[in-house]
Amino acid sequence: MTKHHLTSKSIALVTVLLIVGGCGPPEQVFFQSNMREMVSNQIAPKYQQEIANVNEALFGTPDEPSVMPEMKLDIKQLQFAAGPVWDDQQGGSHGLYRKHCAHCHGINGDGRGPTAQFLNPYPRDYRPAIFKFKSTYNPARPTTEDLHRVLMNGIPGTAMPSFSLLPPAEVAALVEYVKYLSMRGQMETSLIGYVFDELGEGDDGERISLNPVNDAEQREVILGELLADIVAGWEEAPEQVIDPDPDAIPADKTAEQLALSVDKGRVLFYGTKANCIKCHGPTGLGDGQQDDYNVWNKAVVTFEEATAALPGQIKTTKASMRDKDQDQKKAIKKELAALNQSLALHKRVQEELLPPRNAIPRNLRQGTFRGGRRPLDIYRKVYTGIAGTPMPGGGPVTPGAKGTLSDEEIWQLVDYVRSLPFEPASQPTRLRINYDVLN
Amino acid sequence: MIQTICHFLISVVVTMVLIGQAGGLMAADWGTLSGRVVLDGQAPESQPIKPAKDQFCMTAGPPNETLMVGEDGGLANVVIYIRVKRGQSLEVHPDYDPQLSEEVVLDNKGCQFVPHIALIRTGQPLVVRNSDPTGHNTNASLAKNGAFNVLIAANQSQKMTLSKAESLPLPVQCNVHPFMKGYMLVRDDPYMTVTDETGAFEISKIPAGNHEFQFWQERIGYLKNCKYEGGELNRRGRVKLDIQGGADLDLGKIEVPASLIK
Repeated sequence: MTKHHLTSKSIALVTVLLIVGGCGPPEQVFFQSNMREMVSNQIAPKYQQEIANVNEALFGTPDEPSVMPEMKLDIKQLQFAAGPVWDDQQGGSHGLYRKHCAHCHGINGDGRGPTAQFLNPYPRDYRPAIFKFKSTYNPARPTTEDLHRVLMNGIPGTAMPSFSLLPPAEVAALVEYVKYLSMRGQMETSLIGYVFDELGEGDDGERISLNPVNDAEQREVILGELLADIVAGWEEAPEQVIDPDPDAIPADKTAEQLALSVDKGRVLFYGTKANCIKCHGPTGLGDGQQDDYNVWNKAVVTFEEATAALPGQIKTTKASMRDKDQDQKKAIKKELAALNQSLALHKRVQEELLPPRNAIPRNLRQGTFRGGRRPLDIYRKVYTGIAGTPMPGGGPVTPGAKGTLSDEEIWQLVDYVRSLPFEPASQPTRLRINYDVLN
Repeated sequence: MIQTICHFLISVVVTMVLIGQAGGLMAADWGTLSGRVVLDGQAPESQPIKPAKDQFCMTAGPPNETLMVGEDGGLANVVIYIRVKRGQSLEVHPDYDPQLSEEVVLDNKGCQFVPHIALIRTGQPLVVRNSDPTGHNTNASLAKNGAFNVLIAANQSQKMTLSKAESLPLPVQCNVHPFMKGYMLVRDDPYMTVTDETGAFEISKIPAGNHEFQFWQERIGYLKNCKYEGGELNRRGRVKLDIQGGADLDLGKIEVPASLIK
């Protein structure tokens, strides 16, 4: 009886949902502001709106992306990837990003889609434009090919699958859309920095609004500097690719040569020069330094610390009111109100952030290399580190400079790291199963 | 003959003009800003650093430098620099020219960054050194220059130059020892300083004129609305001041309420 009752109730609910959601005009989707950045930079609500307006004028909406020629983004590809999911009469897919990516990476590309909280590692937040698995120097953007490779191969050991079964045009459109979401996120942060640093109250106490349509100087800053810097970073990526000296690439080593290289790599791994052991642990299981964070989680930790500090600041501010005159008290009260408001805002924003997790160094005995298992992939990791993570690079900071490790030493480490999963210690002991006990 | 006289006259005039300019450079057009930053109120107790896992660091016992308050409230490690409007630059006193080829050393020493806050001019050689027998890495979260994260083996160093000015001091970290924290400020001009252990600071040979000075501390951020005799920093810890040629502008005590500390 109860069951029947429930069923009719759910049918009614589904019907209501269909009427509201399915058959009405499609709901418009907008990008959400990066509230963590807004609140930590004390951006007032009016400015928040103005920043959102400017970014929308530049990049459009999730349904209707728009670009400027100087962004060097392909609007056709973006339109292919953007918008709601639907199929045309020829069977062509549309709304690719929402179909394949948004449930983890979110509409904003903030890595906070509905599935994100259930995943470890969390999906990438594209907005800072920092990508771990790429061929370029640590601070550089990834190349288009780098993003493409990640989509084709997926990321082993994570929830990121391979999309190699999609038609090539769809993969290309998705790569373009990831770049677009990244640039948009970078622009938002740049605008927040610009407002925080340079706008606010002018000398006359009047609020200077962010309105590049009417203000030529602001327009010049936004397009000529902020946007130009962002685009240049992406444009320069191909020049920042780390290509090892072809003569130094150890090809076709004999078993003896390889064994020698692995031995040298082992010495480096455990020594103070390369110091890998400090994080990857004396066992290579990733059981060394585990208290640190990557930049994405660190941003949340910093935000949480700021929230946690506010009650103390409120308390000391209150206490400072004692033996002050009327005017001073008034000023302190104003300050108190601002602090309380900030605390409420911080708490609200914090609720939406994913609980921060430590950066756990990779267990090198599993043979799972997220950035790719080719010698070249591992070479680049040892050479320049992994962007956004605690992993440092042993090579030079900039092309041409001298690094801590020589090319030869880096290749020795590559050989050792690649040999680790095959060491006896990495192989589980094969126990004979006693079927009698099981039965 | 006439030609020679003409040449002579011209060279005299040119020399006079040159002397006039040089004379202007020498004393009248450069001034100094000084003062002392003090904490008003009780500083929160400083949490000692507990280096775990690394025996060398445990023995070295690095101090917590995030908030250094002297006996009479002097606040150390407050960064003061001139904010230049976008697209503009400051005239730099020639005495600062040799600085451009001097190395700024950011040392990993005793499991702390020395100096705690490194001040670097764009183009100046930066040497990241490790004087410890243990391995470190230096992870600088720079914004305009791009972040770098390099391995520095024991008793080794890496040399680099930074080409872009940053608008804030930015964090430097060692990921092997996450308790190690420092800062780096990169500017185009030499007009930046850090308060000493008594909270005192001085920036000298500033081109005369009206400049906006920025005050920042790592546990506080911008020194919001801090007062000194005869003035106040604004809500972003900035103040516009007239620097007079040949004079020292002493702001006296700049009081920082303890409630600003995060």
